[in-house]
Formats: sequence, C-alpha cells, structure tokens
Amino acid sequence: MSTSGSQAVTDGTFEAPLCVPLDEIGRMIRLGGEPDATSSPVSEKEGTTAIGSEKSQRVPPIVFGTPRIEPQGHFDVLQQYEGVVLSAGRDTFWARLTNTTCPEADEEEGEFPLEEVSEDDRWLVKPGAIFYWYIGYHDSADRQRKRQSIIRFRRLPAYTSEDISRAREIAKELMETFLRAERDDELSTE
Amino acid sequence: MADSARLERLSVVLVGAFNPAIFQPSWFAVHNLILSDENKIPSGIKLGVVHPQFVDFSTENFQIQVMQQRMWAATGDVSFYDSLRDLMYGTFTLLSHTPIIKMGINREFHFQMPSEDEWNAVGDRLVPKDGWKRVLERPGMESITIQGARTDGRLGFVRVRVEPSRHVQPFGVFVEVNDHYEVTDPETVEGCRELVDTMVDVWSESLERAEQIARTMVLGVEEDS
Repeated sequence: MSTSGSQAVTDGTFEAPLCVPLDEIGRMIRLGGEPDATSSPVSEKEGTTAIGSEKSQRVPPIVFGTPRIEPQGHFDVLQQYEGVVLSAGRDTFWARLTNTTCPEADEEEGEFPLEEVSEDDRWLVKPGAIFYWYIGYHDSADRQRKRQSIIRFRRLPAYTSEDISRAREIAKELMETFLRAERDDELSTE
Repeated sequence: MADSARLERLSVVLVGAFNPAIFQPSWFAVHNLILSDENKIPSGIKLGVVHPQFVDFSTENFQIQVMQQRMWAATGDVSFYDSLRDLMYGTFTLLSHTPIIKMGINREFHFQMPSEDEWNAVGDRLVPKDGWKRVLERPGMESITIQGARTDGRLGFVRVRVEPSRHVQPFGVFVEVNDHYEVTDPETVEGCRELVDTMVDVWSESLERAEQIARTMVLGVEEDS
C-alpha cells in the first residue's frame, strides 16, 4: 500500500472563523453531509478532486465532522468482568462477578477496596449496582506500558416516583387481566 | 505483525428525528448519564456548539454531536465501550418517543505494521495490483470499502473501509467497520424501542465481529489464533 502525496487533514475540527452567524451554521448543517449514513461522517482523506466526482460537485460538507481521535494511548483488555454489588461497607464492597471475557467460567465473588473506585463513581456503590471491571495493559502515547485495573459503574437514569407509580399501575392492570382470563378459563371448562 | 491496534474508537450513529436543543451537557448530568458534581453540574465538559439545530460537546470520556437527522456519540477509551452503550440506552429510555430508523455501531482501528513491506502487503492482499499496473504507474491503495449482507436475520449490512492511517505513522492502517441496522418499517416506526433493544442485544457480538473482521481480513491473522 502506498500513499500518493501528502494526506490532507480532514478530522472535522471546527476551523471556520468563530464569527460565522449561528443561522449560517444552521444553513451549512442542512446542506452538508450524508443524512442516511450510519458510518462515521468523515473519511480519513479529503473529498477527491477527480473531475465529475460526486464530492467535487456537492456543496462543501459541514465543517463539524467527526472530531479527531486524540492519541492518548490505548488500553488492551486482558480480562473483563461485569459485577453486581452485594454489600458495601465503609472501606470495601463485596460483589458477584461474571467473566465476560470467558462467559463459560463460573461466577465468583470478591471484595474490592472502595479506594479503587473513582471519586465520581463512589456514590453509585450500593447493593444491586452494576459495574464493569477491566484488567489490562495501557500503552501511553509515548509507548510506556503499565498494567491497569479499572472499575466503572453503570450509569442509567434514576427512576422517578412517577415512573414507579406508573409501573405499579401497569402491574396492577396486568394482574387484573390475568385473573380475569383465568376466571374465564375456569368458567368455560365447567 | 501488528497484534493490536495502537488507537481505537467506538461510535454509535443514529439516524432519525432529533431535537438537538435537548442534548445539552446539563440534561445528561441531571439524569446521571455523565459525570457531574453533587449539584448535577456536568464536569470535564468541552463545549463546541450549542445551537437549536446542532449540538457538539465532549466530556472527559465521550464525544457527542447531535443534528436534526443524526446523532453521533463516541469514545476512544476501550474501558468506556460498555459505558457508551449505557449512555445511549439511558438517553433513549428517557426519550423513548424519538423516532430512530437506522443505527450504526462503528469500530475504528489504527494498526501499525512493523515494516513497509508488511504495510504494502495489506494493500496488495485487499487490492491485487497486477491489473492496475497495466494502466497506472505505481498503483497504490488509497481507500477501499466493501459491503456485506447481514447473516443474523436483521435488516442492514456490514461495511468495512480500509485506508492508510493518518494518526499512526509510519506504516499505519486504518480500518472502520460500520455495523448498520435498520428498522423493519421506517414509515410506521414510533419511537426508538426497536433499535435501542437491538443495540443492547447485539452489542457484544457487534464489537467482537468488528475486531475479528479487522484482524482476520486485514491483518491476515488466522481466525482461531
């Protein structure tokens, strides 16, 4: 594989002057891009300059392409677990672990120091909370390698009291439907 | 032989009808979907644009862009891949009436080949040059895209793009696997339940398939090695 000359930087960084009116941004958004595509919007290369090419005849694509990947290194996962908190104490918590790297492995239980959980996630450590535990090597941008153990807690929207009330109503309606169906079955067999 | 990627990114692209004004960092923070302080003020936010027709911001771990017809969310940290799924699932559980008709789960890899010969061999394997040499001087592969049908009974396709990498040099190879899904009937879709449920169902399988495609087909790594 070879490259034919220099590769243009098309990482989609917003390089237009910041004085572009916001309404103009809206117009540019409507004109650019392929609305139905589900791949990342920007190719590694700029649009071709071939005569008659679709890209050269199109209005210039929106400048807000996919942001570039910032080379911050790479984490190579060796083992991955999904855990459920069983109990939480002052300094540690117990969890049941499922090995998602080797799903056929047995479930295990383990105790974790709370200090291994990031401060941002500590309030999430409660019985029933789900977390992901990754063990692997992190290769930094300057090629230094270190072994890492990372715990991330699952973040999902909290149920509101309205959600819970509505769920109870639905459960009640379903129960009434099942009981009615059961009574109808009994009557029809008599 | 490059055993693992030097850089990676995972993105989820949704096509449908969105109201970008909703997707502000504060909305995500209030619903505990991203990091925030005890007052639900989102932390680590880099704000690009907040406009009624376009929102662009990044958190410490995710990049998010929302337009009226498309949403894109991504992370470059492998240890946040499952969290990205949770972010999308949580968002569209709250916004369940948002019509979404297409979804792409996209993995991008940047491999570094150990030598120029092995780098050229990738291009030669994907695009044999004998025919091109009859009409072009020193032909080289700039980009190739191959699309395959789905084998899981779902609507959509799997599309693979390979190019020289501009992030990893020298001898970098970029691979993107676009795992594309569509709703059964876009004319009658109500909300996003169909594709959100699909995303949860296929998540692990999609990520593994993308890695297998990149390693087996592009790097020539044997499937069971």
